[in-house]
Amino acid sequence: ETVESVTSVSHVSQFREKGVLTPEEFVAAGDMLVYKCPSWSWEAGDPSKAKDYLPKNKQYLITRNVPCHQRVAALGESVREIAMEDAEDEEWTYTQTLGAAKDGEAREIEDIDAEEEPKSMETSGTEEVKAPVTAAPESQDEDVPDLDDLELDEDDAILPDDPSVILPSPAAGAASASSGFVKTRSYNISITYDKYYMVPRMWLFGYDEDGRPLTHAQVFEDMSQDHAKRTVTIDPHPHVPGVSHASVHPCKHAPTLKRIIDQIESGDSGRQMRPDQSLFLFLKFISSIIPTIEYDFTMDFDA
Amino acid sequence: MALRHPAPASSLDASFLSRIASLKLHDLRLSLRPLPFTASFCLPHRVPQGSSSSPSQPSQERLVVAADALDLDASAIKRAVLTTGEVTIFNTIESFKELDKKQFLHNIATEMCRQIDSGEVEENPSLLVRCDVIVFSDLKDYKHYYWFAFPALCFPDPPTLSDSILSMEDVMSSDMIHQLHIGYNGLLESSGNGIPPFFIVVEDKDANTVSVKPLSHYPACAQSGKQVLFGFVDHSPLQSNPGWPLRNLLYFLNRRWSLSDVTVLCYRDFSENMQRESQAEWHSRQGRRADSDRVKETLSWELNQKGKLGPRCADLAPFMDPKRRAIESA
Repeated sequence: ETVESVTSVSHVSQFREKGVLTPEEFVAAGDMLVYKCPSWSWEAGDPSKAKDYLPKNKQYLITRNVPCHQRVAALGESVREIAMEDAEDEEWTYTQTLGAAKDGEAREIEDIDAEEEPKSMETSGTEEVKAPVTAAPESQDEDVPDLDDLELDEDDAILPDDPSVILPSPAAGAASASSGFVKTRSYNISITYDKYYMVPRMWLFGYDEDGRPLTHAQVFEDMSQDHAKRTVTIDPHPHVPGVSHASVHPCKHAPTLKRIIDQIESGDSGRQMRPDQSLFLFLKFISSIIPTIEYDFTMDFDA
Repeated sequence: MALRHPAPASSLDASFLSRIASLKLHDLRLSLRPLPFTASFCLPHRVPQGSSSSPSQPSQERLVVAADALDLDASAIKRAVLTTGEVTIFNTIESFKELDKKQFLHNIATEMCRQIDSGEVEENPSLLVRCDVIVFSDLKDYKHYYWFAFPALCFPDPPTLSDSILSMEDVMSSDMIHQLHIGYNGLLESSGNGIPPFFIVVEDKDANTVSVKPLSHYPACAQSGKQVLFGFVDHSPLQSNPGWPLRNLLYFLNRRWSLSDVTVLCYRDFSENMQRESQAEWHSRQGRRADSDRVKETLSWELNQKGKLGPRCADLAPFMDPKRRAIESA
């Protein structure tokens, strides 16, 4: 934060050259995301934390209650690879252009997402990269004896059963007596503008199936393990005072974005990526870090 | 067939709890004055195509209380169905426990009935989408006990579905569906207070036209003899069961306008560009008029994680900024 406060804001576009965004480009990209994916919206956040280089009511983007049906570990290694390929085949041009350039293999994408980034993180020596906090004290449910006492006594019978309600099945994959919908973990995902790295930065706060905050250790269960160890940090959210969030550290975002831009443009000569499309690229590559969190980033580059 | 609704779930942002705690400490102190707040039903998430973890089952509908829930101006610009309601913050765990939970809901029901009878609901239909919460915050330990209620005004006999559910395409031409979307978007733009949860759809089959109007236009439209449908924005995760807010709409229609057999349009497409298929459906209901001015029962408190009638606890200690913790404990 100290570094950020002395860095001046650049207003010169270097999106295609370096994969970075000016604040104005971040706002334009956010507007595009909100337009295309209505589950995302702008937030003002705590007024005392507002950045003067962003509009007051467009300080960061958020999508709430994003379902997360299963842990990353539950995706078997093979299932996970197939899934990654599927996702790439279905969706978008960057895979196709990549295919044209590189033997039609999806391997290159894995390089970007899974290997190269963490490796360069290791050698970058960036001080901000903290080890993941796994030592966050587990909340001890047994330590709240009061909670049971607070339940209403059955024999009070003050509230009758409600014949018009359908309760959710306890968890995903529950037995056949299911009601058709389930309780899941859910995440609030926000995207802030990182002034120092000039890129979007993602923040996560999770809730368990019953709406209780997930500890940081539990949040790490929803991250690809390669990344969780190297690129995810626990920091106070810049616009939500006092509450720490898990965050994907932004120090390698710009080169990664730049590489994706180059791939798309080289595979389709004449195509130029625009800064207002950048958040779709960003969300796409982040999704390999949090593969089971089902946020919305519909790809549509012809808009 | 009984009309049944999937239970919604509460979701309290940690930042909201943190704000409440600070408010209690510095401003409210011992006051038990309830504070109005808004919560929003989340827009459903589209699962990215080809996602490996495509759910076999949809997830529970959640009512989210965000950090700015007490800031009524801020939440007014959200693109979501907003609820009205109050948060009451208790001073001790004992007083939280001793609150007469039945009386608490009864008072809310009485207030809602008053709002129906006075005509306030027609002008502001979101009064029918209500949630209330009671909180006790253990400030030393960052532990927050909270309990949500989603008040539903109930008939002596539960409403039933008189017909099978139809999809929009079965009853409207594609041109009329298009007009419906345009009409709803028009209503949305003129509302300025979240997504209007309820509205009416006036259908003129001869002219092949459909128009969307605020709920308050119903008496005038009914007199004109045109067919009127009651629309509500439906976030239900289940195809064949409409969402929770319909319960209070049905009660309102019965109590205010003596309607006991209505056709309801569950509006499930609120995308910006209207390019997706509409998922709206038709429901109708038969039932007797709610007798006199009494609500038979008011439901319901949210069940806790064990499925019992009890509060929940959020332990925020692991998330609080250590610097801040140091300051506050000093």
